[in-house]
Amino acid sequence: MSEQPPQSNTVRTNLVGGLGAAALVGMAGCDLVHKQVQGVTGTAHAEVLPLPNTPAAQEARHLLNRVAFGAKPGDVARVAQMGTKNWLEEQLADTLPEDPIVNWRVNSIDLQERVRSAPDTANDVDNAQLVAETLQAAILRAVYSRHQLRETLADFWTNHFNIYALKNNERELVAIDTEQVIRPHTLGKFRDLLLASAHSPAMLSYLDNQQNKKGVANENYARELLELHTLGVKSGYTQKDIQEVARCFTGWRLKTTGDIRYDVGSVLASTKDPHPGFLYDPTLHDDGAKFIPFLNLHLVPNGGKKDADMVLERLVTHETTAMFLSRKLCRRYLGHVPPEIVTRASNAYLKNDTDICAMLRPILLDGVFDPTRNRPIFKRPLDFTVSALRAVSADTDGGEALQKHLSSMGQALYQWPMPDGFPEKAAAWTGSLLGRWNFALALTGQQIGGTTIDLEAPFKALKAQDDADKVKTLVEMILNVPADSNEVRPLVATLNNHIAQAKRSNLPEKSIFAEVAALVIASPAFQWR
Amino acid sequence: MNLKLTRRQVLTGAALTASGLTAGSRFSALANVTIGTKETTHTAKDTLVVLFLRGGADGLNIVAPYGDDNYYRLRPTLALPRPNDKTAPSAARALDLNGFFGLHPALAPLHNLYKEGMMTAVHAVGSGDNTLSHFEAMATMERGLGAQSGSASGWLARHLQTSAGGFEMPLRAVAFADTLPDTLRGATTAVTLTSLADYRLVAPAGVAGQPPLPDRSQALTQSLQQMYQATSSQKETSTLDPYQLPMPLEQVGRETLSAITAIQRLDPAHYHPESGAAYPNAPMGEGFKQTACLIKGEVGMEVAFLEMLGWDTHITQGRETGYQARLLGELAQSLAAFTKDLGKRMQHVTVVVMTEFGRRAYENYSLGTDHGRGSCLFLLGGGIVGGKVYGEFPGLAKDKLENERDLRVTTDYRDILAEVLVKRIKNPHIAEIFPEHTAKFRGVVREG
Repeated sequence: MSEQPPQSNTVRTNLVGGLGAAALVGMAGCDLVHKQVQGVTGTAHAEVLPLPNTPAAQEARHLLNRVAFGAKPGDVARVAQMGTKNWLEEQLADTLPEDPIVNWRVNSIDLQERVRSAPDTANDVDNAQLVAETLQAAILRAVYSRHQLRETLADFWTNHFNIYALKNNERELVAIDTEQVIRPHTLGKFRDLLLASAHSPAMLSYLDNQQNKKGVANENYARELLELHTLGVKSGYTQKDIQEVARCFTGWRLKTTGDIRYDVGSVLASTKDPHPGFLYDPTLHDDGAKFIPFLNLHLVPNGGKKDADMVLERLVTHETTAMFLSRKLCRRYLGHVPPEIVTRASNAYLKNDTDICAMLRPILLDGVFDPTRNRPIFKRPLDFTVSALRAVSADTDGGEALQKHLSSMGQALYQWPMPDGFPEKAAAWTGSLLGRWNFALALTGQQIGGTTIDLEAPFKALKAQDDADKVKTLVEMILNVPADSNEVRPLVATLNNHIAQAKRSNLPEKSIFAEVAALVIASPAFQWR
Repeated sequence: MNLKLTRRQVLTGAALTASGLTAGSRFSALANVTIGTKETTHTAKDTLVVLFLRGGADGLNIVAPYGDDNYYRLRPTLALPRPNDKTAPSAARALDLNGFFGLHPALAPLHNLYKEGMMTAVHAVGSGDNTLSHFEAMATMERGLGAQSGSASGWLARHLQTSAGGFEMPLRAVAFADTLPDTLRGATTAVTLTSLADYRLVAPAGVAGQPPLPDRSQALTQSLQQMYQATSSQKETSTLDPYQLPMPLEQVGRETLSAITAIQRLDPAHYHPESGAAYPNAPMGEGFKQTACLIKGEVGMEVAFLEMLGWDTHITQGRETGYQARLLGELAQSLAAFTKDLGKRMQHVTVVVMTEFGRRAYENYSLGTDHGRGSCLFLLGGGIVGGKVYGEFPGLAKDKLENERDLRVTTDYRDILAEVLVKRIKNPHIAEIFPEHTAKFRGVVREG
């Protein structure tokens, strides 16, 4: 198109330079840091351990599949040894110091600094870069953080409060939303999370609340607030409720200054401001009396901003919301909605002042380990990609080469256009298999820029010498299932055939086992969590 | 005989015996390849091909209103001479459609299709977006909205969602583009390709500094086939619980491998068009050739999306020759070759050619045209009701223009798309695809 604004060279140079530097810091820091790090499922180069052939190990495997983004080499043995319940409690407490590698890598991206230095909303290149960097941070944290429960929840809440980064010129706001709305509250009180979201400049822009004014209400936010964020669809509220809630939110806006559509400075300026970038404009607020039948809430005239505050409070403490959230969390962690667990989680949420951790306890402590309360869960592309990176202990910058693979599997993060988040339904993802296979081949074949793996390391650590040892090492490291078990017998036979064929074709030894690792990642068994 | 077969019948081969069809007839292209969505070839549902002209194509010089004198007043340099204007070289004159409108001469191949009843145009089409911004207008149209604000998913994605037969098949929707277009945003399994040859297993070619590896894709495909041949790793499948897969993952894997094989067998690199169809050696020609290849291959493609850039003709757009004429030539030759190549198959294909907005009624001082409002839209296929130009043309007199500048929009683009979806693509869910719009059918296509 002809109206591309001129590029600002300084800003672009800074961005490129900054990324390069970030990568260098990450690499140089690795060896130094991982020697000092304790704890499980954190560091990039965890020690490879033999897979114990015990029920406890299989329980640990299941737990890491459900509550973490899969196991890193040695994790199953370590979690089995420390006890699955202990590991879960540690995750729920969320008090372990973060792995320094994660902080270094993520901080060196420093999204907010970039927003400050490039507030020019018209510059598409920088905006696209910001989306890529937000995504990069999400990938790095998912792969490397030792707070795996928190990271799976960050993904869960990011989708629950989904914002499409490319809808308006709000890409910077999405980066900020991630840091200021989602991440601080993943394991906190749902009330705080919902309030932060309702005041979020990114959300207000995405769901058109800028257009929600006295006399010309825009119902977009009100509808999704009820349908997706709190009560759930078909829970009994009606169009009348939506209209009245929309009226309550008239005048809820984001700050704007001059020609810039919103004021980036004010979004970032004050850490004391509980809702940076938010503006309530009383001149746009519909100050008539309101009645929301579903909440049985009568609001007297001239309530001002309190109208919507009151609606939010009624919604977070509503039993229907508690049930809706419990069911959704059960599907995330159990693949199933066992009624008694849903009820207990919902009650715990209501009794504990909307506490997310309290709601999770019955789901994780009593649900996850009970086979009758679990169903298979088909990995979404993000689950698959991150679990593969973890399984082979990849060293990744989470950069654009990797992100391209996620896109071609259909899950470009922050780019799901609808407010409902990426589909939870397994059927939505059946077209992504070719993308998964090609990712597996590219990963183990060292074809992804910024991402490398070292397959010699586990062979050395476990003293794998012949082909059978190496197949066993890879199968057990990636799938965490004993290589001689019935479950993987056909797979192992296929891998042996493949090795024989590859040898006849004179493929170099290294490439043969790269292909074997790719096939294990591409296998049906690895697509489930 | 009821030809609407269930997926399962097709997959198990029960369909073949039940219906008496043999591998030699309807399944010829894929003789031994099983592709689930072949049932689409048994229903009367058209394949939908959408071409988006990005940049705002100048409808007034594509389907020229030569019967309106204002056209010549507003565009002294650019206006196409009337079909009967003996003072102008014949190669410059508009090709008459109906005594009022004439096609740009570079569209001669489409003129023939118009006369055969295979192509028609709708004029003064557009959306409610009046920002005159490419990005706003494209976003509005690709999302199937009236103006900005509202659902952020694409209208084709919503079509796919509301017509899904239980789960997503590989190759159901193909976009020939660098990145997934907004029209298909929200379709998890839409495949974005710049070339059909990209739909394949990519075996690593080796690492820099070391000798290249032999091509391993065949060996890897074989091993994948073995892995996905096994009976289910997952005992539970459910067609009732959407959170479970409706069929075993192994079967999904086999179908994906079949799709790859099918495309390889189609051998797009050596594809020979039929009936002497000559696709232009240009991106559009390539795109339509590959679309034809997929349609003939019966790989289950329901929707193809193509895009053509460069319609933002602010300067020296030219008249019968020049910049815009070259674009139109490529477009017309591609569409004509596609139609010829598909032959009888065009009876079950509908092509829609659309753009985000038209251009200013009057030319500018750079011998181009600036952003405007209404433009024209093309429809091709066996199902169109041809022989006329559709739409109410509001005229170019000063008081008829929007803001005394632009051709007014008198036909909402969603009316046309909705009619095509309902009558040709057999998707009645237009209220979900075009929310907040009550579509008015114009009779542009027949009930198929």
